[in-house]
Amino acid sequence: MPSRRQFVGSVGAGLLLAPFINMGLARKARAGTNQSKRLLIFATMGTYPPLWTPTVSGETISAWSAMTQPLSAVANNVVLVEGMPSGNVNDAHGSSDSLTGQGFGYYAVNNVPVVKLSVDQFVANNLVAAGIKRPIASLLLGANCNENGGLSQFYGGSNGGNLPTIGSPLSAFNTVFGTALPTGTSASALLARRQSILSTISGEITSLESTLGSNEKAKLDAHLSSIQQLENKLTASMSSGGVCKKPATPGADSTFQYMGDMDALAANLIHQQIIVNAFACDITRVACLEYGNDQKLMVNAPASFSLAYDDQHGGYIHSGASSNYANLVKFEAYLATQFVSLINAMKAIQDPLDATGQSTLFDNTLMIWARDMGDAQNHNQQSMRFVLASGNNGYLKTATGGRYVKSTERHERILLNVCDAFGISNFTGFGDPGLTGASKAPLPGIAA
Amino acid sequence: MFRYSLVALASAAVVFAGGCAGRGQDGLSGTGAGTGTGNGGASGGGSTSGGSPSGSGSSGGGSPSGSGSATGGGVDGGASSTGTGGLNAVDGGVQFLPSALAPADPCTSNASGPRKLWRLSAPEFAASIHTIFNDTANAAPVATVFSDPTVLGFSVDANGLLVQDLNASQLEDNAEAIAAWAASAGKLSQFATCAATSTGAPASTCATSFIQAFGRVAFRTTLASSDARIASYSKLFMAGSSNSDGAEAVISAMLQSPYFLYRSELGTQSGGTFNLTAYEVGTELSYTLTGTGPDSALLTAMDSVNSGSLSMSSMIDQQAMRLLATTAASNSTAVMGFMNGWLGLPRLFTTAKDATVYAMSATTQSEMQTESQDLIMEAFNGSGTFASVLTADHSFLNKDLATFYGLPTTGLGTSFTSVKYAGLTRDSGLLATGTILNGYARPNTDSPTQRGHMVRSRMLCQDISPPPPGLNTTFVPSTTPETTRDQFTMQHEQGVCGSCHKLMDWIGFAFENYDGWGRYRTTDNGFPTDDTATIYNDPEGNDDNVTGLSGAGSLSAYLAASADVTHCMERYWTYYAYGSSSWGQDGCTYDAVYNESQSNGLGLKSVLMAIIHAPNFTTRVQDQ
Repeated sequence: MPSRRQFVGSVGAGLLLAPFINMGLARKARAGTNQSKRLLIFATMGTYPPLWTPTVSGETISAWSAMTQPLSAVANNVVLVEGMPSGNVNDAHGSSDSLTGQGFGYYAVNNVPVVKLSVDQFVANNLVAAGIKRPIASLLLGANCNENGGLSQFYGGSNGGNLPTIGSPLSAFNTVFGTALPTGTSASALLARRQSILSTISGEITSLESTLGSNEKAKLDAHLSSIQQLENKLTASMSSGGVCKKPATPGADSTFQYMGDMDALAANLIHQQIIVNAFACDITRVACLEYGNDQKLMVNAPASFSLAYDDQHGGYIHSGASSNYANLVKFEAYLATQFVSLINAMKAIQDPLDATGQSTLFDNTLMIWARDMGDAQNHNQQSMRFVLASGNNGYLKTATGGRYVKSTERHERILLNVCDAFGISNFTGFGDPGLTGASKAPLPGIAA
Repeated sequence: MFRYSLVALASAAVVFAGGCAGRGQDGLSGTGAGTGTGNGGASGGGSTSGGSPSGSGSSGGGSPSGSGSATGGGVDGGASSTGTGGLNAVDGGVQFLPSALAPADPCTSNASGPRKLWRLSAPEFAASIHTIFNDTANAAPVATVFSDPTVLGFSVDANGLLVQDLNASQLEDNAEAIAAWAASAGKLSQFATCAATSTGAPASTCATSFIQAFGRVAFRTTLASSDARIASYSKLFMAGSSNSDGAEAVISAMLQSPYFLYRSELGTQSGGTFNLTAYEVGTELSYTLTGTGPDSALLTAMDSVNSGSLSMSSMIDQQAMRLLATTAASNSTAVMGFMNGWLGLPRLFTTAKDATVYAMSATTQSEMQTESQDLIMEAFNGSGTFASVLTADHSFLNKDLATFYGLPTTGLGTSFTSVKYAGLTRDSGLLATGTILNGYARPNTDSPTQRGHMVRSRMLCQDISPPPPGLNTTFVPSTTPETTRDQFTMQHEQGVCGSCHKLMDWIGFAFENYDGWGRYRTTDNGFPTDDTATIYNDPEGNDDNVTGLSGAGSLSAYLAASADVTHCMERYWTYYAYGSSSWGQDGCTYDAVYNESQSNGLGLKSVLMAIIHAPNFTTRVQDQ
């Protein structure tokens, strides 16, 4: 609905973004499939499957479960998928690596270990390789995702290690908007200072590298790469008008404290705003928001959800059987509400990448709600489940009233759909090397 | 004989379709072991139809080294590490992170480890900034820039601590904020009086004095006037609008510099050896013992060694004795930082608990933590050994904790008091504390598997591979009244599960007099408990099995007398102190540590001293 959107208000902003509009990956010659320009991953813990699954008839959702009910507000945009096993389903605990497509465990070919790479990083890398170099290649946000030795669901980097998220709202805000100088501002002195400092530091690192062996040099290469990202951000202009607006500066971390810890839900609300605005300013094309980690998420939900302050993992999941998982049901509904909130926020903003002004941010974004496990109570990946979402003329084949897909194919194939949404057809380096041939392909029937 | 990887699940090529006698199994617990180098289905092991191709080794060309994670089975297993076994870098990247301690590389030439750069951990980063500014109020706006991966139970691995992705942006943001805070809080003048001047053009003399003073604490070295860094930072200073503005620029830059962010252990070359400099060794000493950068006394000592007026060994001993004084607050940081990672003590707080079965208060949890910490620190600050921690004839209790344990409360109040256990029903020693018993348990009951796995993997250093792919590991609650022991025996001793589970469960049975919350019991589900235990595959290599154990006290006594436990502890402590789990001829270092600590009675403090006396603390070889 055009009337609900914020249109690009300045010609200047449109021109600034123009160079990036046509730099997308080559569209595959596949009729009826609309590719996405942005990826938003919503990552949470697994759930209790019997209470999640809606009532369905074939692919038709006839009744939403209490957990999924909030999704009915965007029913025409979502596809619920479940039943898909990972490569190693009996993973027990700590299966934070589902987004790698590998399932729990690790893989090697001819005794050469395969680097873990989550789909967000794979897509981001491909976008960069295709020339889509935004100030931030991938934005990983989420409070308390590495708390208590827990792991985020994102992998990549120099040694395929677990990638941390930025938990602090203020740090996330400053990282996304703080050093990206608005066009036309008179911060040249600050910019010059920052560039001089980075030049000095880069020189120091380069000097150190000259004496090092390959392993230590690789560490500093990762550091230099990080500095390079920052330098790109410093020199990249972003629109200061139209739909590109900074959200309000978040308070210090101390303002998000609750019961001696960061209030993850409150922080993630700010992260949602940052992600939407980062998309609107085209600061990044790949963003992820995670709730907690594979070990813990202390939940301080709004009073309207009637949830006692407790740990999603220990409290709602593992202590939930006696009340038929009543608290987990409520919290899943909260998460679904947030998923819908993100969709609605993106629907309300015109896509600056669309010169015609006919589409919203959401229309050109693929969203995926992914989980570390299928059955969280039993810690397995027997039946992984996703909620996919896209807008008008988006990537997904949707249905009025919502669409439900059950498949026993490997869950990696949905992640290959994510790749497919960005025109990526070469999956080398991603997923389980044991998944080959016809199975190493997007799941049919997901794309429009 | 000290052995690793006692159990490599060599049968992993088989794709198991069923569970253990159809009843599932309790998964493994763990404090840090992670993933092994399994063999992908595409080449070698793996599955055929319908099975998992993940990481199952094959006898026909694949690696049989297991798959998946050795951690966290069951409902509340520990955090897994993020890397893989092996030490191969990929495409020139940083080495993979270890999933288990590799067997020591035999020592043939007394070689030290490789030189390296070691990024400050997140806690070290924060502590260092507060130390630099003498910010005892912790007022500096230090942001959470780094989230350190957990490897082998610790967050110290030098190959895991990187500056990557958006870190540079976060560092810039934080450095600028700290620089602004330093100016507004009047901190600039503590480095150079002139730096507080906010009017007039910056002065070059002020630039030099400020850079040398601030660089000394930020870079943990003395910047000679000829040091090229003086010139480069002077440019930043002089580009400012005033002395204070220039000082802010220097602070911002130095806090983003690799010389601050990394602990340098590169040394200067002398033949085939690299001798670490006085500043590098002093820095090593400071972070190892205090978790932060060197204080002024240590910096002065480093200068003295650098100028030749003090020997390196004298600095190490004198400063270590000073920093490890019995009253030093940092002792708990240095010692408990290791113990927490090694034994997974924080699992007390993170292990999921079913509050509908029993709701333990946060206060009681905190008291359990105090109890276990007091036991350990008593030994460290005295002359105690780890064996004495295991076999202490007392514990530290207050009235509330004693009540929880069901022990007499006479004379106890809110503070903790050493209480002799003679004549009491409860076992003494670390393994019988609520910290261990809660941390290694299922949400609604105890777990012989997790408790036994902790002893086997963390105290005996015998890694146990995870269940093979395709095996149904879903834990099935008992449908008939029975003891935990009987339930686990029925579920785990059947079929393919038994070969591994007997290595864990039969150790864990020693704890059967304690429920999942650490409460003493003599009955379980209405049946008498049985705490007899067996350590199959005797780690000492003397007998096939260690039999005749009965109860946590009996098990603790055996472990206390085991040289394997001492070796294992020292191996993990060396990893914690050096940030590297293995390297060529690392056996030289382990031998040096063991021999010195043994000659000094194996006291906990003597172990730590032996680590900082080992050649690897002061010399290195070329990195690869």
